[in-house]
Amino acid sequence: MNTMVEQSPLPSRHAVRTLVEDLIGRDVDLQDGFPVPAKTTNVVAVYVTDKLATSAVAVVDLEGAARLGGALGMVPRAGVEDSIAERSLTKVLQDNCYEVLNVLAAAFNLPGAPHVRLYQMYDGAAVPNDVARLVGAAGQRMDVVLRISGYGDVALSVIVR
Amino acid sequence: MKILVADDSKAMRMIVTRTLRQAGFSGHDVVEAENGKEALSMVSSESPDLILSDWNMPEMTGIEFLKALRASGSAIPFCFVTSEGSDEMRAQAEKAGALGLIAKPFTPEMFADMLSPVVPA
Repeated sequence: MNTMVEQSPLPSRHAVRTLVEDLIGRDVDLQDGFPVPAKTTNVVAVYVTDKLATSAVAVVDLEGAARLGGALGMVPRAGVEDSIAERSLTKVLQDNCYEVLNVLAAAFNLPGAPHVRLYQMYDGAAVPNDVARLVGAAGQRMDVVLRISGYGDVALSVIVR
Repeated sequence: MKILVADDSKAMRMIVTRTLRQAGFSGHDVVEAENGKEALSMVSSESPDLILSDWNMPEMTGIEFLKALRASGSAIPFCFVTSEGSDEMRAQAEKAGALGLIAKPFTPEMFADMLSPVVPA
């Protein structure tokens, strides 16, 4: 019997929390949140299947991207907050945030689900219309706040098609 | 022993090095490369005893690096540390002569299990 499904599953909250915690090596608490408000400074990760079909997106705001990137690279908290105050991610924070969102693909790659990978990360750039529609979709989504020990809160929205 | 860590992310190279320590593999020299091409060059200049490499890297991917390494006659133990760990990639890694594949996010226990046979504690 073929149990393969065409859509990526919405990851469990536990899986997302554990994945981030294991990756950055810090305690992470997860709480209910709200959809990340649409801003041009948001970071949007687009995940695609092996057939290059968009299957999921993840959105973090600038503050969250800076804190995720800072926590991964153990960047001093002051440097992270400076980047937030300047409303622009440094190259290091940008690269580190990309790495976290890249690894987040593992949360979608469950047995029987289509294999997905991070295709592109939009950082302060306009996203294509189809991606924007998926970001705003009301369907299968997870809106949470990750509280990273020593770095603070990260608003994260994950939406699957 | 000397361990070569190849990853285009500086943060991930740092985390791999930290995880080696947490896994009980302390006191080893760690040298770093940003991509497969640089890593291949460093095999000659640094003579590492173990290679831990990402898969997706610019210039030369990890699997291209491994194939070039084996084609040169080198039998240095080689392990992938990468964000993707599909069955297909694991099979490809094994066929090319890798010790194995550790998928991110990883734990010190995963490092210990995979590397104990080749790294003295």
